[in-house]
Amino acid sequence: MRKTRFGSLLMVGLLVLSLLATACSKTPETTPKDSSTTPNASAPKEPAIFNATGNWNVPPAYHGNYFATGGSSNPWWYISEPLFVYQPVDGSISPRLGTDWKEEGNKVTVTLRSGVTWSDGTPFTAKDVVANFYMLKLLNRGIWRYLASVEAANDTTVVFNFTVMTPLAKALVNSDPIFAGAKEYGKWADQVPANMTNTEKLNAIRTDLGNYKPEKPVGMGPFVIKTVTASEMILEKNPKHYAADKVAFDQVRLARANSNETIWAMNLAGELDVNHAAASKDLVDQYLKRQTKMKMAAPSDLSDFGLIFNTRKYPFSEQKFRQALAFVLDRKKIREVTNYFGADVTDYSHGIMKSYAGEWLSADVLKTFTNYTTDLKKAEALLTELGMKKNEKGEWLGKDGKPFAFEVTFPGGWGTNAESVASQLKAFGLPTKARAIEDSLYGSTLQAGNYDMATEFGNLWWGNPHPYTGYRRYYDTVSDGFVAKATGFPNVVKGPDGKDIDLMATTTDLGKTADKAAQKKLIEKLAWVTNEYLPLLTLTEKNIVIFYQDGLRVTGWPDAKDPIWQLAGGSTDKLYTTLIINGTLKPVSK
Amino acid sequence: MKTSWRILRRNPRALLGFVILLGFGLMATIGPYLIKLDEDQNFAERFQAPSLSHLMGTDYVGRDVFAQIIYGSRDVLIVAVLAAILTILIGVFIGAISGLAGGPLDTTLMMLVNVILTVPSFPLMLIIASMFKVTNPISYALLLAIWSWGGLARAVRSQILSLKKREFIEAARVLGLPAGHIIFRQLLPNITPYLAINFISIMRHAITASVGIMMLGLVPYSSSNWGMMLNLAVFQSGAVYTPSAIFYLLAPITAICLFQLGGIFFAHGLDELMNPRLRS
Repeated sequence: MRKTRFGSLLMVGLLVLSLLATACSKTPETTPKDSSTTPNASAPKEPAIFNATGNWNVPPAYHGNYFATGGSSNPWWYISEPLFVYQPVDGSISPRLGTDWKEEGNKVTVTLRSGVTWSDGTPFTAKDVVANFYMLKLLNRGIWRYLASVEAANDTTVVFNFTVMTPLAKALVNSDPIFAGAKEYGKWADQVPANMTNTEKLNAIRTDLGNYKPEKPVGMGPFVIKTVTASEMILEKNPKHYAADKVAFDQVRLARANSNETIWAMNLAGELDVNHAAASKDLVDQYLKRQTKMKMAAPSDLSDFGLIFNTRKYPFSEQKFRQALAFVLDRKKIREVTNYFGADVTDYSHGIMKSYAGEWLSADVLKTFTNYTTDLKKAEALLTELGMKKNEKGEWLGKDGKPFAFEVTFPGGWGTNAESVASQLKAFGLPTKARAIEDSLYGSTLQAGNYDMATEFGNLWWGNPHPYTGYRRYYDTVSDGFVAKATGFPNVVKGPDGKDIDLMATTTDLGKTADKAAQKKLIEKLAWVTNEYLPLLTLTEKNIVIFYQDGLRVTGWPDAKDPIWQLAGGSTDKLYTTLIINGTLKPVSK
Repeated sequence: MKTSWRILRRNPRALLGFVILLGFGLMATIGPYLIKLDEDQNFAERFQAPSLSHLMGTDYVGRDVFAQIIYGSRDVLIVAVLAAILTILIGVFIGAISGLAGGPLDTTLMMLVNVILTVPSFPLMLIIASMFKVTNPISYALLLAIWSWGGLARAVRSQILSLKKREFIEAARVLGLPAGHIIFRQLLPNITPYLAINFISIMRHAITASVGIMMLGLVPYSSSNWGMMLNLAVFQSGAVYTPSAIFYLLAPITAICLFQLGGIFFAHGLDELMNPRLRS
């Protein structure tokens, strides 16, 4: 008994001592050494590392086939290359794998860079581009709505034959890097051209392709994947890359960003050179206070948040009711609490991204649109026109004299947005509660019409920044039309001149029109309908907030106002790799 | 009643627990009539420190945290207590029958328990979420209880199996006392302290689990639910990393801990109340 007690005491004592020793030991350096570190000539050269984030399927589910579950989330922009880099700000393209772009009628001819090789040593040719685009057909990529065929004229010339010359041609051809070459994916790509309209056969190809799971992807980008774990992915510089002399980093270290909290902690510790994990204003203030070399840029994400109305249900079926809600909501206040670094949209809701609207809608045109700047009196007048009145509690009653009880539905993580809308409507006398819907059920819940109002993306211009992309999401129910399907909004409505407008037909016409003046005419009609009928009220434009350490380990970041940041809309990796490949970003010299 | 009060008074820990729980009870019932929950958001007043106008400071959008805690206590008391009662009822019923009956009925019930314990609840909740909306606290509590009774039923069965071989139960049987008497007067009082502790841990579990139920859309979202307040503080507003947000972060944690502490302390007294051998 005594021995047992002595043993127990000894163990407790040792435990306490070890804890004390741990507590008293010197805390290891958490902040990496900065540029002031004294060089040591005898020490082996440390690799120059670019620290960013990614999110991939963890091993053993991880593999290198984009087309099978587990492989699509590879860091493709680091390990592959696009033909050109499309700049949404001015619609220009800059060469990457392609060196020349020529448009003639419905034909686009792209000349390829010579001397490029895949990471397995295979030469990169036009056949790879052809294979890649036919593989994109298996992913139902939007380009195939306009593309008839892709041909290799010779080893360095690719011809894209469009059915109609869409205004999105440059954006669509260059929205993905080339990641499926002829050598690796030719077996499947070759089967596609003969089966373009045979869904059954295409599905059979997809099924067979889904069984192919290479250990790692093969690419021709500036880096190749070295190791993949559940928390980290290491990429090594590709010495065969055509711009290897400009690529100043030996490695890219990607931390797996499976939750914002993980990235917040890494940012506060200064472990990342760049990332774009959403963060509140106060958290950003903490970053900037603790990490003195950290800066931020906030280009448009080419998307906006909105509130959709279920027009199948009374009173949301009433145009004036929807307009009244638009007048009630203080959208600046909503932006402030839910999307602090976003851009205000406080006037119209015409379906064009606020930061791009000036290019398409003149001030004269906008004069004919209703301006929904917050005005509670206008909202009250509209509700009164609809035969609604307030009860003694200050709550609005429907035409039937019954009080309203609304819900704002939202997907997980968007609670602040919905709650902000609900609290403002409640304060106005329209009792409203927020209700979450699990992400995987969200789309189907909306399309089934089981909601009153819901928070949703309005525009999603990622990769294809043009009003057509937005209106396709609004009204083209054949290829997308999410908004029309979710809101139950009719396809034919009266236009500004009192004549019927077929929204899907008008949107389809816009997609086939290369002439900018003709595009404007169609856009003005669609914008007017969207603004006046309000199937969706735009709440705020989303900006992608990028935090970067300038001068800690990496230097050369462009000024935060430089238009090049706009490349990040839809894929931040595209921006980072562009800056690495053109030699703008460099490691801090030691 | 008098005896219960006397026992409680003699046990300071239990008395403290009782006072804490009573405080929460008053907070939930009278509090909302005294304090108004202003849901209006004011970003400029976010994360304020406690003051006379905001006793526990403000949250990430400038709302009063104290008012949220008071309104949230209603959720806690109604849903958590109901969920705990339902879990105990189901668990004790299944566990007691299984332990007493033995044989094929025991085997069948334990198979059912194994199913409840092993079937992943999330996909089933998803299906329920796509089909139903919970409209009242009882169905809300039932939804929480339906996945929680398995472990308790197993434990109750084990207790019953052990107790039924004890001499006093054998004696009751020899005396020909009815089954109802044996269950309710002999067996149940012996497992009540165990059930009381379980009752408290089930309530704590219900507070956190209600966040999941809310995020599935089965019940309306409520930012004054303590579990949701904690979730918003940690995962949405980054309060963990924001020094000025410390009071917002600590408020729901303190409320949950205090509520649980009150429950544990009170259960200690309950133990003495139920078990005459523990009385001094």
